[in-house]
Amino acid sequence: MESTPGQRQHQQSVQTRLFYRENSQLYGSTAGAEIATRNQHHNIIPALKSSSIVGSGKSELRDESHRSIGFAVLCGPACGSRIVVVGGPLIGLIAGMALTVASGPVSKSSDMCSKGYYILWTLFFLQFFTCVSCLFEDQIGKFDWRQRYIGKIRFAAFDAVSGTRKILVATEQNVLAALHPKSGNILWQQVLEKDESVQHMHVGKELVSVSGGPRVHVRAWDKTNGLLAWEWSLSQQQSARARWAVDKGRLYHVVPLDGQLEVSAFSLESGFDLGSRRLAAPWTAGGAYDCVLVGATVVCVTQHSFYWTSLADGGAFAEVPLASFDLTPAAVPVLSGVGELAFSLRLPGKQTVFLMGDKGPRAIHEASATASLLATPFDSNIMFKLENKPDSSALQVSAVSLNTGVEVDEYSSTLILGSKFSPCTLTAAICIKDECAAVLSGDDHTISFVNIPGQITWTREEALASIISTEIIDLPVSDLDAAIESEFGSKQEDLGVATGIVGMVMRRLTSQVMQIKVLAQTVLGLVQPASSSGPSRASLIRDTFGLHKMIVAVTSAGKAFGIDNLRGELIWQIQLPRFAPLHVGKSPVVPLYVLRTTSHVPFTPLCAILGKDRLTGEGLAVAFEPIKGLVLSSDALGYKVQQVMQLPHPDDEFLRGLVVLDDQLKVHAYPPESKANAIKQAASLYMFTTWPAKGTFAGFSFAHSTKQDLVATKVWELQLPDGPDREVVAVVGKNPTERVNSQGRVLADRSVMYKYINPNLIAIISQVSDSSHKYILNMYLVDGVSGAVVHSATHKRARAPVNVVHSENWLVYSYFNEKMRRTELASFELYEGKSRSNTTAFSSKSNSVRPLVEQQAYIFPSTVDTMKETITEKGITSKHLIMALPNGNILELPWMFVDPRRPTVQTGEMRDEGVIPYTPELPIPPDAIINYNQTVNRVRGIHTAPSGLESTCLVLVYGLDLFYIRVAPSKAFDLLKDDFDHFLIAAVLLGLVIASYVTKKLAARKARNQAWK
Amino acid sequence: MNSLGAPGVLLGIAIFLHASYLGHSYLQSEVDYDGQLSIDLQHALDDTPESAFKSRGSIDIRSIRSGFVDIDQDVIAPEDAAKISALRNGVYRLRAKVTTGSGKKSSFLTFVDGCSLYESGLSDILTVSLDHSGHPMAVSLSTTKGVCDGSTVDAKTLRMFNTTVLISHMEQAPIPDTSAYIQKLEREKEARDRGETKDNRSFFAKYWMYIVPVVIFVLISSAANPEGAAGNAGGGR
Repeated sequence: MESTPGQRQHQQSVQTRLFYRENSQLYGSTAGAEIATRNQHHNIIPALKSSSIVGSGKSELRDESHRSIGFAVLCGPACGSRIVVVGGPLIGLIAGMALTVASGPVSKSSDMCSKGYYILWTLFFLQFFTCVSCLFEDQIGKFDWRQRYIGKIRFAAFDAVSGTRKILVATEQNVLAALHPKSGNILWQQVLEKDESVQHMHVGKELVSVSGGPRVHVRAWDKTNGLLAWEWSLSQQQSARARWAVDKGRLYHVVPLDGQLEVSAFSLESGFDLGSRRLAAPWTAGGAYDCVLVGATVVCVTQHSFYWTSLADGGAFAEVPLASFDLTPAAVPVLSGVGELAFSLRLPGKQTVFLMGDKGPRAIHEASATASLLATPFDSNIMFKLENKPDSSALQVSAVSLNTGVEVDEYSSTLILGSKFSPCTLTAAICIKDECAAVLSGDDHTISFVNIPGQITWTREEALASIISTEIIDLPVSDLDAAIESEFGSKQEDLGVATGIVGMVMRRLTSQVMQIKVLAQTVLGLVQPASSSGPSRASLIRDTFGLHKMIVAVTSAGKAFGIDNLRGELIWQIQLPRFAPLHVGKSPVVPLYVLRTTSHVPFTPLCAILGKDRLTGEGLAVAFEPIKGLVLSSDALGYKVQQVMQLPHPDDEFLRGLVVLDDQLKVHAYPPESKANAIKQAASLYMFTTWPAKGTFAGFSFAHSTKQDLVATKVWELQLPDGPDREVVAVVGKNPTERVNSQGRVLADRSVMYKYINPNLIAIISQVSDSSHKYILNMYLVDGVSGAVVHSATHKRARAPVNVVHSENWLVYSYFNEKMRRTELASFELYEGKSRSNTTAFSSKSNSVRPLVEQQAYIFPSTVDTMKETITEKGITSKHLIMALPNGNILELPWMFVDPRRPTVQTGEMRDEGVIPYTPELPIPPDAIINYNQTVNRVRGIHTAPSGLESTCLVLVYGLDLFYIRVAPSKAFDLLKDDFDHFLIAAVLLGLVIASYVTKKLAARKARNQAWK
Repeated sequence: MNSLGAPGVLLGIAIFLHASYLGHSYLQSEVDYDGQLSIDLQHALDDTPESAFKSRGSIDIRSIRSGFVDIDQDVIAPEDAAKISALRNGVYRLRAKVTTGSGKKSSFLTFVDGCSLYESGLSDILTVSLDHSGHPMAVSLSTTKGVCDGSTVDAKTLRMFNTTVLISHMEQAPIPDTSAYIQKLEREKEARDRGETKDNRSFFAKYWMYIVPVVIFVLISSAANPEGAAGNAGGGR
């Protein structure tokens, strides 16, 4: 039932105190008994060395649980926290053995066996004393990995001046970073605020960034280590056409006003306002112009003429008609800067490169309109030209001399990308003594480094910084297991083998021949990779404990990845051109479904994602094989997707198709062949959808589907009352794969409170503002099938950001309390009561029980970026909340801490039940930070998936960075520690057996001798 | 619908009680608003996607605070009663058009399984859920018969809806209970200052430091001194 062994251990964990001593050993203080670990060679990781670990806000809990648990608590294995226990039983065994050794040889007993009980008892007893625990230095990265990303390049520059060469970049994700030119590794990075977009980057003595708005921050960063050198800020009006330039220690800001251009100058280092001038520019009036800053010259173009002036001396604009360059554009051309001296004028069909001189622009070269151009800095006078050739999946790099405008053949090279091709632009280029290099930024968010002439040296997949949805998928079984499975599989006719006795015998024999073959190969060391697609694929086989899985990640960059969860290697990637995410409100979503799992050999596993066409906005569905990353079909749906749902039951081929509701409320099946299966299940199929902008929620029944067509009939509809600034901030259902093991909670009087477990329950949180209270947050629990409002509650003076976790019979969400100016967690728990309304099957329609609601709120000492509950295979293990905090920490908070039944006054009953007493403020203990010192920046989502072990849950945290770890909420009760010494324990057991036989013999001889006396 | 039939007027008073566990029952009485709602009910008696909704009656909620309700529903014509019996394999849909005291209109749709409506003998429960300001956000229908068992009811009971109206107010969400916690701490501190902290730990928790050495001692001595037992055994022989 509810109090699993794991949960009991939780209570015990809280009073195990950790001490750090100078000699780098870890001591567990357990009520006076201090036992050192045997792992003296380990060093404790630096995160633990902080003195804050000692008595980290746990003392009051310790007192309480100390009382409550009594003898067993002396020293329960500290569980739930990441930084935990090593090697209890072993020390117990050693100690037990010492006792045995002490007593054994002198024993004159003839009956050694009667001692066995005592020894075992001693072992059992002593293991309680040895519960020291920690994450050791050599365990870093053993169960977890982190990958850092920076996002798509916005600005890039080479730093060839300071000691080590590096590439300095500013990205769309507002990250400043330095990359190593040899490997592409991040040397340093500075993550700016989420809404502080980088407007300009200049590399001089320091890296200068201009970011944010309307309050603009000008910052200088040390190029070698990324430390902030100086900073100042100014308030500027926002304009998409504002331009920044740095020249000779001055920062210029050019803003168009009606009929004028305002040029403001600032001292770069001090921020001193050097005054602003307004230049008459009557041609800006209609807005039909474009401007670019070339060095310290502002160059503008209208449909007829060039205008330019120097920012430094600030004379009036000089004018040159475009006709003098034989250009007669039909519309206003687009200007783009090409390095410090040149710019390009883009017209439909072609672009012309102009070199900016004292006498005005001079045309030097013509290129195709799609080519990306970039002049190298310093005196090399070379401009690189990059042309995308989608037909041959290649990039053509060539060089043009700025002096002559002629192509330089020696730098010409063709980069063939194959299936990874995506259009690229040049973002930085450099030439040092005939050695040239360039940084390319792809439309698929890649960053590539090219040696010119030469090939791409490295590529960073920055699309992984913008993951939208992920799924963790089981790997397929090995060929051998697949053969066994097909031998006992039920779908025999599909395998093309005759059924009946003969067929069975044949299949048996063939599979056994195969097993013998594999055995022989293994023995002879002849094992070949099972799959033909390369060596890395061979290892992609399901392991015994189901810990090795495949992470499928879909990004907003139109790219999907397959990632090995053990190491974080990219196994495959697929390009999804034209694919764009759907949107719910402002947030992008990509529904990702596993249509067929990997368990159904010989059918290929199948995943599907839904998005929209970048151009038409109509639905786009892509079906792919998730292990090898093969796109099987990419279908334009021809309608806009409103809602999608997966069928609850698979068809004969184990395919669970999707039911898609379009914006005209027509129903479609995807893939189309699963329509028959959908129609078969239609009578019991309901769909829930929402229009957040209108505040409408509706439920549909498919009962009216005919034999040919799926028909959706609206059967219920809710309408949130109109209010000022009404906003639906969260609609959260339960994880459909979740299993609830315990149906109730055992109370102290041994009666059971049954949980209200409604898989169709949906939590809706909306925010409205009110004249008297600034914001009001309303929470509704709605049954997604019947449309009944099961519970509703209102928070006065509370507002978003809201993060919701909805699982089993409870709901936890964080919100901001405006009155107290703090983040709080509200926790709800639903119970049916002391009897079950329906013991056999749950039905939303016949369920009119109003659940009993337990509720409680807690102060959380940090804001929450996102949170998620852990999930395990059978749901026996207790639940923890995985919370991403804005400081880059990932907190694992046991749900027990937010249990709404925590009593203010601890009564005996509650103590027996194992509920900890109420404290209004929740702790953030440092040892519950599962990513120890590995900061995870700007987390957007957390995905949890069960492993094959009941104790273990796989967690993937994604955002700017990727972090993967496995957690064991109730400790790894079904897994031996990885440093468990099998050899020693076997030796000890063997020794004991031998010793008992020897002593038995000796005792028998002694008894015989005595008898002769 | 036969509008000539005498209107059946039922008066139902329903106050929604939320009894939470551990006995602290909570009566939603501190509603700082009051208002009237008039609900116009329309139902679909054909189980087809395009079926027409026809009037079923109206409900006047005179006061959402007290839950004083005035129900006015028409007598069901025999052909409609037959349709309701025929709905046993389908769903019965009800549209509620709510007009608030201030004249705001909103429309809601709800349904029950036709069989449960039929088997309950048209005893249905209409729950009107209100938001924090007393505006309706949902109207949902349920019946007194939870699970259909295929029983038949007397045709006479299908003459009139026996409707109960429940008004469900929004509850106040919890807030962190700091004051009670501080009071508890203060009480404990006072008790400690007076020196009368009641040690309510269990026996083992209190005296484990004495028990454990004794147990160890007993164990070691019994393990180290086995020939005593053996000798006794020998003596007994």
